[in-house]
Amino acid sequence: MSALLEIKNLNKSFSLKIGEVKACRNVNLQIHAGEVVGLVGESGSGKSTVANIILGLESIDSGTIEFDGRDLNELLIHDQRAFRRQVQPVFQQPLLALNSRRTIGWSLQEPLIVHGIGDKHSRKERALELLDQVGLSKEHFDRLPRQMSGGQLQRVNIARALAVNPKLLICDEAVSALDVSVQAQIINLFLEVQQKLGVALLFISHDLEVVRHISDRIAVMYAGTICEVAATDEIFASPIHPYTRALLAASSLDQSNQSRALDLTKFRKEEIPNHGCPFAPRCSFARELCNEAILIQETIATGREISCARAHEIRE
Amino acid sequence: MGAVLSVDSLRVHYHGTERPAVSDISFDIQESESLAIVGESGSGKTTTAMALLRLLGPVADISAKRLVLAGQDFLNATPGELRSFRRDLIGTVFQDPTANWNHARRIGDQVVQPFARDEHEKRRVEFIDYMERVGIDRASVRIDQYPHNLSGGMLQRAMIAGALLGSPRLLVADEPTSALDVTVQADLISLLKDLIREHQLSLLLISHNLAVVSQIATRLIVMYSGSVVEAGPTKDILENPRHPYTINLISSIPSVKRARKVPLYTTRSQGTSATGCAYASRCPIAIDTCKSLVPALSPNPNSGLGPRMVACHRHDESSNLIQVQR
Repeated sequence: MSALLEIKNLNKSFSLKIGEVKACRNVNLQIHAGEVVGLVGESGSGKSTVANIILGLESIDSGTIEFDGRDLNELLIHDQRAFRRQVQPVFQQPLLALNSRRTIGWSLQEPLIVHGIGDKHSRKERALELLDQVGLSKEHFDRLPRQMSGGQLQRVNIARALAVNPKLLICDEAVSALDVSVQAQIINLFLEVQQKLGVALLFISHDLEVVRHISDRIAVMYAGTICEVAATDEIFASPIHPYTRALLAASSLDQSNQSRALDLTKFRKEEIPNHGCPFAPRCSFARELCNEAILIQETIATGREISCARAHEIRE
Repeated sequence: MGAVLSVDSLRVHYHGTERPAVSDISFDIQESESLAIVGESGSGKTTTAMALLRLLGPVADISAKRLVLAGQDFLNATPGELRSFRRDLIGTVFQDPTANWNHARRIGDQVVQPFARDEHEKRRVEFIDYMERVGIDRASVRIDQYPHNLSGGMLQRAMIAGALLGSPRLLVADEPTSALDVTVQADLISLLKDLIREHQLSLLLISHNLAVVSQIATRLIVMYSGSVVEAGPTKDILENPRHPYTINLISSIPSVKRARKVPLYTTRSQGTSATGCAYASRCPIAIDTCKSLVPALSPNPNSGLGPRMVACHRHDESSNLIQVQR
């Protein structure tokens, strides 16, 4: 099965005052059609950089990204509109993502105008259809963003993303700003949209419980590397990478294990090494070789990839 | 062991609104006890905390039969007295770490400001010590930095360190972990637990994160639309919720124990009912009585962990009628 999106050996650095920050180090990730892939990791791990690169909002240093078998760079140069019809974003702050001076109806029709879809009449029809699809009604058509709640606005953002019938939605912390009960509604909407329309989702969040609920597969990121990729149930049942283990133990998921696997407060971001495994200074399994080894994301079983020099030993 | 905080029939009514934001809330917090208030946005949990610290200003009317903190009457205190009470008795941690620092002043100067000038040096040393304890590296350098030099998580921890200055009796923490990563969150929870134990500190925690609440708070208050709908030992309530709102709140949260990809519980309609139980219009088991008569907060059988209160006409049968999904 060929992937809808395939990222190979992606590297991206930012030059900041404190020095060079490696936001992506040899990242490999596939997203298949209609699949939900969860991307988790702490802040600064590079999750949003991956999202921005896929959306074409950020350039890359090296590596390849293929969408539907075509190179992303090529697509962005020669066929940008066509590419953007296929990949749409849903962001964290629903209010900031919409034009505050335009009505909801206008915001829903804008992508159709930009992409030259339909005429005035059919665009309005489509906007109303989209409102209905996300659980809103035609009374919301003439509202302004400030007249709606956060949950309703996120529905609008999802509708807007769906307007051009994309194949992939990039959801960067799309439910994090919402209250628990509203969050439940939006999670349900994402599931419904995915199942009905067959759209694939890259679901980025720091909330492991939310990611577990919605995702078919989960990728765990740390300091720009993808530590581990596996089917959701597998990763929760038997995490292999030491960081994945620490993350699951630190989160409230495992209430019996109150002992902290990681003493993160003592750790500084500046200490992340540029060579070898970035997790080595904090890792209880680290050996001399971890500081030297060139980290590769290797497939250790079907659908299961690990970036850890000692993955085989740890597994046993 | 006496109550550090005692609130009786607290009522807060914002000017220009129809309904009070908080109506007749009563609770006590004992020494070394941690109490959490949970509820959705707009349920009045932050308003309750702000009102009892008398930080709401002239935008609302506050009334109560009793509002006593560490032996001091907060209801009838003068503004000058309130300032010294807040400085000496209370530590506060607010929700948004970046919004609650003055970005034009060094963090050390800001936290020692409430104290007398001749104490400043002593408080600075104390602040450095607490910053180290909450995991801020190079605290002696950080103290003279500006808020923009610190990350959001560090500002949150610095705010906690500052709140502990002067050994307060009560720490009021409004969503102290919502801006933090899970890993940092876990560290902060164990730090707060240590402080409660070591310093006989009491904690009022405002949160909507039931996982955090279950790890730190011994008692829980569930608020809905300005009223307490359920109160009791945290473990008791989370394991055996009685109020339909609490049951549904638990059902709407994704959890590692439940089936994936199934729809989460969501309420059918929004809004609160004008008469009767505020939850009636959203409640799956509402009967005619619920729409006309406000249910009183009444005692529920004690499971042995502590007293338990529920405000629901059907509290005896609710757990049989609605299944908790988790």
